[in-house]
Amino acid sequence: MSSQPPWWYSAGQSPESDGSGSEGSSPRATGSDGPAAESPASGAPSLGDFVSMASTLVEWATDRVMAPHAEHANPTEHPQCLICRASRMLGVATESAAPVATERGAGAITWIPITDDPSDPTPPLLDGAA
Amino acid sequence: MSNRADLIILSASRTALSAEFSDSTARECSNPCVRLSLLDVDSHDVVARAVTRGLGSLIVGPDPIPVEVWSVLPGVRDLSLLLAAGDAVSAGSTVVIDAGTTSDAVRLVSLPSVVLRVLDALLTPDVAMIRTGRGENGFEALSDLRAALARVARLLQSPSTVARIATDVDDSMVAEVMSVSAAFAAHGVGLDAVMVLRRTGERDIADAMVARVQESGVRVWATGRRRRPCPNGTQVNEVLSRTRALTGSELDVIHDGDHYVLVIPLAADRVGIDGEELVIDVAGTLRWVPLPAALRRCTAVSGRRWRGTVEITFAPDAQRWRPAS
Repeated sequence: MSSQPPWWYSAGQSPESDGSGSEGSSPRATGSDGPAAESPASGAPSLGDFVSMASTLVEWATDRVMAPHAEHANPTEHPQCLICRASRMLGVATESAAPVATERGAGAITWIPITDDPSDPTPPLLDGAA
Repeated sequence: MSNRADLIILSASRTALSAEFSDSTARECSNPCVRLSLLDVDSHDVVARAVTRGLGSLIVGPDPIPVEVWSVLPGVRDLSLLLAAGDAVSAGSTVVIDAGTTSDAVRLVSLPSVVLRVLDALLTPDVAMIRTGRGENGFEALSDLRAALARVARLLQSPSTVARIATDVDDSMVAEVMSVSAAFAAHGVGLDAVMVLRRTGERDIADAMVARVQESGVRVWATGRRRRPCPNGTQVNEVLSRTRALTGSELDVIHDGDHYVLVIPLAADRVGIDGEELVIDVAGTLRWVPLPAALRRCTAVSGRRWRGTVEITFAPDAQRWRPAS
């Protein structure tokens, strides 16, 4: 294993590296501004570091798990999704998640096939031959 | 039982005929009467009032939209007219609407049910957080608009609302009257009567067509050169003969062995299922009515047109149907 700290662990980094131009590509959290975010010189993780780590994990979970899951209507169709898998294990999901098309903004009307009865004495409504 | 019409919706095969018909109807009304025209330039004020009453809340930006721009948006003029009609009837007036052509009139009466559905989908907690550019709460304004439209929808379906048609004698007359009659019925509006205008020499043709229309239960009065807005011996704002109109609670369900048959008393073009509601398509307009409770646990199997009605056969859905214990 490498002795390098994981990318989400910010303790021990020098203030200079924080201001480098490569920061934009770093996935570090940005929500840890303020006094609590300053690391002590000893290198031991402070409360700010834990907050930073927690928010980074939350962001990661949101991007990689929650956002894709938001589009999953039927858990049985997404065995690779952690939440769908958990839902199935807990029995939360049911097989009746079928009416996907009736979700907001994508409502669908199911039209019933109607046939004209040949024995009907009533002439068609719009025959144009009145 | 009141015989007085509070709302008279007039339309014709030509807009000029509709204007003439509605003018004479409004003139002969004995009580306070408001005449509203779908095509009239006066509707600028009507649209302006509707915009301030709630339509404007659909825009959350700070820049106002001129009434002239609102007016050309499809449906806004119709909606404004209906709101104005609802207000006038509430104030005790008889309202005569010049709806233009018969297709315009059908579009007019079908609008509330569609807009109500859109507003129902729009009025969510998320939208409640939105403030308009003028700092107003759009949710409250839209809720008020919804309440006003619901009152208009009830007014359209009340027995004191009638639709009348004026038509020339031509080949498409009977088919048009039947189609418009069905469309009005689908939206709960009863067709009161049809005025047939005939020119010299058309008496035989007109009589044959009038007889065909009368077979369907629609009252017809034929006039020649001298045109009256109602038959002799009747008051112009008297309900002459309202045809059957769909209220939504009168759909018959027949238990037929393992199946259920739903009878829709209309020659609908299409019938569909939208969640727990039935969708009826007549003349290109849609009406939603609640499905009878038992049919919400069934699947539609087939449909057929029969004697001016549509019969839909439903089979119980085994997964949703509780087995008899």
